[in-house]
Amino acid sequence: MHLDKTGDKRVLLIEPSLMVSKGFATLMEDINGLKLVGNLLNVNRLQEHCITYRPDVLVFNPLIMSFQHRTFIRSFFNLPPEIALVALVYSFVDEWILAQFDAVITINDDQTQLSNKLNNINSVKFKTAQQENEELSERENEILTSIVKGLTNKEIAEKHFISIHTVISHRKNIIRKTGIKSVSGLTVYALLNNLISYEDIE
Amino acid sequence: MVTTSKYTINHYPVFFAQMKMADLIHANSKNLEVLKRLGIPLGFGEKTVEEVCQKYSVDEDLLLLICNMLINNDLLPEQEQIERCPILQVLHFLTQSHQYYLQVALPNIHKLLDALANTCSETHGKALNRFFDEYRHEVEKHLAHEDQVVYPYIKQLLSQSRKSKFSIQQFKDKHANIEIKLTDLKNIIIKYIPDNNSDRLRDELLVQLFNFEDDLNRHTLIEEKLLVPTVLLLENSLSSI
Repeated sequence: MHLDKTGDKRVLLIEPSLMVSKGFATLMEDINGLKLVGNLLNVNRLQEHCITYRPDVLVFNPLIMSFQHRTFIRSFFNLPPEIALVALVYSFVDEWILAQFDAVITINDDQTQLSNKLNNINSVKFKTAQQENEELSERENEILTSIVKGLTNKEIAEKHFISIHTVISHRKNIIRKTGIKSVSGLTVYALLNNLISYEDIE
Repeated sequence: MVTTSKYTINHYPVFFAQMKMADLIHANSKNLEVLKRLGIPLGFGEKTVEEVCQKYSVDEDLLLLICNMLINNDLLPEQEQIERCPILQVLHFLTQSHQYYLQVALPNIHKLLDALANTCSETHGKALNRFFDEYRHEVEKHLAHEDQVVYPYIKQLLSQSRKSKFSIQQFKDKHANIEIKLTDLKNIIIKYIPDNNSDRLRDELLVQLFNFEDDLNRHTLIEEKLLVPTVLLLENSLSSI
């Protein structure tokens, strides 16, 4: 967790409605241990905003995303496991979408409920989510394979239909998870995990 | 050498000139390697650090500084120690460390790694050996650069001549690559070699890798905090003539 200098958990809200975001901000003011660090209007360039705001918790309504994004929120935006996801719900949302979140708050929650839900993420779900996500994802394994085959960031971006920025972010996550920085080290990793065969590198 | 009446700094023991040389080794077995690299053999009976150093013409302050830095991570050379640093002896110490890495540490690690590779499938074994060879080659290249370029340059400075355009400023941190691959290797061995009942072998290899890493870090520390500032002083004094 990043945590603020004060030890507070950093909360980033993504919410297009001014009424809702103002209300949320007002409730957050008096809650101990939490700090609202920003309010985004949509999910555009979410990854970059996560680098700027260093949030521990992202709060947003899953319905503000397109259906495609909603299905695999974490992997689609390539969010690191340290960031907890909290759904802010004010209409019906499918259970399987909510299952991706570490907590769910509703529009009718009062300050105490809000405080409890956000503060408790840390203790239970937050930790398990972190452990589960330490394994390399399918996507990361694919990118890793391209890296050890000697492709440049640009080539990898074109091959996998993603932006160069996303490639770099995948690279960072791969290094963080494996603890391996050099390409030749990652090659050994790929061989040991049977992602490539020895002929591929000879 | 001023005898210190304090025996500890920040809860770490401090080695001093009037203590028995034997106690120095009892206190920290890593000091054994320091003596060896400075050229002091065992068998000194009840003699003190001061007496033994005198006998073998080793600068006792240098020996104590190295030993104290080994045991106390926060201890760095003071300005006075830098000013009166016996450069040739430091170079001797560093060169001997290189010899140890090349002739003892790396071959030992290679032997264990090869044995571990033999317990793996052929492909995995080959990949491991290949990575290690690459790493070893990088270390050898780095050490050779120091032995053939950096240290001779410093010796040249000592003889009051400055023919080459090299400067110790260029001797920036070239250890980075070596450190990265060593960490990679540790992670590969800790996390990704499949379990195949070679636990003991793997543990032994890891202990050697951790020791080697620690030794290299100390080596870098002495280069950066003692050798480089000393040589900077020397370069300045020569250019002002």
